[in-house]
Amino acid sequence: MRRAQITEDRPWALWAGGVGVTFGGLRALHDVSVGVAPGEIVGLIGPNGAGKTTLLDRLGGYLPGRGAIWLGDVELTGLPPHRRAAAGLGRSFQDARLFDTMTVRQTLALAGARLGERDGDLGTRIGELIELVGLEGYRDKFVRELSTGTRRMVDIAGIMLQRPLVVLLDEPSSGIAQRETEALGPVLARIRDITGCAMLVVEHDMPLLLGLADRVYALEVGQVIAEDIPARIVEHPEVVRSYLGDDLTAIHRSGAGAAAGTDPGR
Amino acid sequence: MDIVLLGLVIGMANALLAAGLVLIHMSNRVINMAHGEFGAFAVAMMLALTRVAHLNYWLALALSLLATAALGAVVERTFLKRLFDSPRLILLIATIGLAQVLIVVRLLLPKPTVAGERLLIGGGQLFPVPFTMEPVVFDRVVLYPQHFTALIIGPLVAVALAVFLRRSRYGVALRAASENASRAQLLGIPVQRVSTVAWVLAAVMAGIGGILLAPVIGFSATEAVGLPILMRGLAAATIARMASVWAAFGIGLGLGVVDQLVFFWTGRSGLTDVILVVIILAALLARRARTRRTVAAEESSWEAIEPVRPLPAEILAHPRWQVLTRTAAVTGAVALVGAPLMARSAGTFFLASVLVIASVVVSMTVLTGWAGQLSLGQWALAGIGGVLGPKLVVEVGLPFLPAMALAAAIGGLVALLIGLPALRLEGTGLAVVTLGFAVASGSWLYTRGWFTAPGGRFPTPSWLTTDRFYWIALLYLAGAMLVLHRLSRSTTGLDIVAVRDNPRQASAYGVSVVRTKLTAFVVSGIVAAGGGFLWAAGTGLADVTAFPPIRSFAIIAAAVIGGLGTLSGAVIGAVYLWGVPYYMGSVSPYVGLLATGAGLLALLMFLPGGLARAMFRGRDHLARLVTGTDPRPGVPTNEEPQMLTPGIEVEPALAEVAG
Repeated sequence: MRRAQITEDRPWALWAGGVGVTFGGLRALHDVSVGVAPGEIVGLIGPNGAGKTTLLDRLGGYLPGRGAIWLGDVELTGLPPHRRAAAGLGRSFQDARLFDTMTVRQTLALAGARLGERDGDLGTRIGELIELVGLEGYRDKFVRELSTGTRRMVDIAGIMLQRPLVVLLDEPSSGIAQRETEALGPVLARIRDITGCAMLVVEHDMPLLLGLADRVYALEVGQVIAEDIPARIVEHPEVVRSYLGDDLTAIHRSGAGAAAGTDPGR
Repeated sequence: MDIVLLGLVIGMANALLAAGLVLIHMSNRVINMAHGEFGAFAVAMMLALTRVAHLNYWLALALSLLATAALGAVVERTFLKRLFDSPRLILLIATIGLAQVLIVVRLLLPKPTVAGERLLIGGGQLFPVPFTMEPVVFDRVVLYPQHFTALIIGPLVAVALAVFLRRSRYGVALRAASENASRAQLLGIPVQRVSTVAWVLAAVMAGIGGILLAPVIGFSATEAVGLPILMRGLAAATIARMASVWAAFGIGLGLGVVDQLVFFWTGRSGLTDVILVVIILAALLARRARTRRTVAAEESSWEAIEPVRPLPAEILAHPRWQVLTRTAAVTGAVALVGAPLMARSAGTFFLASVLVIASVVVSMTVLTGWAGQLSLGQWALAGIGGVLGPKLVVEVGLPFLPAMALAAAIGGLVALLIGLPALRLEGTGLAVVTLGFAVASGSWLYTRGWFTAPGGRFPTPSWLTTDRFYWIALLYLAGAMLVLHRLSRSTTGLDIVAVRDNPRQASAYGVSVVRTKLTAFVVSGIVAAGGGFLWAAGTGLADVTAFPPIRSFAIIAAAVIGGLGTLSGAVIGAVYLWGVPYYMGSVSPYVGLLATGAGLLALLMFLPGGLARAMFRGRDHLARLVTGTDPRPGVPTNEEPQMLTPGIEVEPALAEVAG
């Protein structure tokens, strides 16, 4: 699989047009179009059932549906997930379950296995990365022995190893402690600055998302109802009505803040 | 028309069985491999009550069905309850153990005697009928009272079931439980009781199906009788997507008609099994097109496999440990290689057959333990090598080893052909298809002249003494284990485990899920077929008597009893599978079956890691005694890695590493 590149004809890192997904007779996504520019962090907000995870699943190739999907100059539309990954599309799942019976080192070896590097080089790189994200004590631990926060770090390290063009992140703050959630924003921003990868982030923690994203799409019942920069999206009348209700406190963290959002619809 | 009528009679049993399978699947999300045995049990019961105890038909019927219902309830209350939260694949394997135990129970029931001989196989005339009438003669078939009994009672049972599901609160509860068991439980639905009711209903329906069918097609008090029956019900239930009792019922009837039509057109009964496999494959493939988004129970990972932790480096490097392990390795190797010199010929042959069985169990471990896929036809895959291989030697004239290599390769090819459609689906698709393959291979493929050696025999080459056979088997097993061990350490091995643990995440890392599962199945097919070739060479038999489909269940049992995660566990399992009947066969002919069936259930319930788990615990204890270092990991530190550390403090290094 050819790795995707940005060309003059195809300036978007990720572009999807007219995406539609149905579950039985239920229209989960209808004519959704989104674009992510190279190096851009794009947020995806909306109430439960708006279709955020469905959109990520469609982009990642885990659901069939309508519409065209491009990663740089490679069309992903009909490809299975592993070929999208090979083209340079990263994916972080909400549960960060990873692989129960694999050690941290094995997980990273798996993530980096398809980069065409020599084993020795990959081993060195994995070793450095493990030290870097503070996982030295966990190197030979099985993933299922780790806390969600630690697994999330392994997950992020794995994505960095893959050097994707775009990463789809589903609720990165889910299941981790408040203190770590606050640190998550800067970590993700720095990964973007250093690796240059773009991100499409679904996140319930509004302060985290609004502080991180360059641009935000708002979804409701399977359709894009607004698109704007973070400062303005929360004032968009459609968004206020559908998502935030009349209560704007959710946007501003008060004291300990809102608990990390988990989506019971999943 | 007359044939269609006959087909409907046969189909009625399929339909009742299929509907029961769907009921159980709705309540527990498990495919009950013991379901055919419920039917066979009722038949044996009926036979004992009418022909041995000489009871009246209706009384015997009532008692038989009552006993079958009780059996269903007991099974559900004991095993299912205990394993309710296990991964579904474990449950499925547990029902295989259950099937083996039920076979023994059935075989121990009193059998009718004719002229002083205990009757093992008999025709329909042995069975009593509720009423007598003149047979109705058509062009090609004659319909007797038993046919009309089936045509009357079958629909009545269906109506009764419909009324029950519609009217009683269990109908709704069952649907709720099938949608989402844990949520139904939260809503106050007694999921456990619903499950018991489903099992009792299903068992009774299987019993009725069996009792209706037995007078039509005759019976056989052998191990294998439940399998083809189960196969047909399972085919119908699978095509009905395990979702609709009525669809399964209708398709079961339809399959009965197809069965008879094919039989009358071609005159071959085995061909219908092949057609059945094709129908199942087509149905599975058609299912793919549908968009689904359920967190399927099958997705839950293979939690029974607790990974074996390698010993820490300081123990491995400890001089005393090294002396110990090297001494043990050398002694073990000398003992294994020198065994034929110490044992008598029969003993050597027994050891060799354990080694061959072990190689097939090892192939099971690769597929089920590593890849998390279940094949119910592993012994039939071995048969590919064991039935075709001798033909290559006898008719084509290939030397022994090239023939073995080619036979193994063809085994891999067959696995590829079966797996290609079956492995595109998540869950138990492969299990159903391989079961069909097992049944069809026994009834059709292994009887074809173009596939088998003359007379189904593998004349032992003159140079192949028992000792040499043992050494070849030893070499084959050791070689297979070595290659597979290397495989498990390779990138491919990592892919296989990753796909088992979490297919979505694996594909997000660029791993092709289908190709990886296929790789595992093809490798296991090659190893199994190679083992099968040796089995044929050792026994001299190259037909279905050497490769009965039912033994695939025993292979699964051995793999689980030994411990699915490790290759050494497979060897332990083979020793258990073959050793228990060898040393205790004089106690009862059923001891082997009982040992695997009961052993399987006991281990799944109480020691899910298998015997190998106990062995590795022993290794850890020994390591501590010898080296004074505790190999088990210490209490994990409470300190979590800090989210803050990466970006801020070591940014330059991060830039370098992330490239």
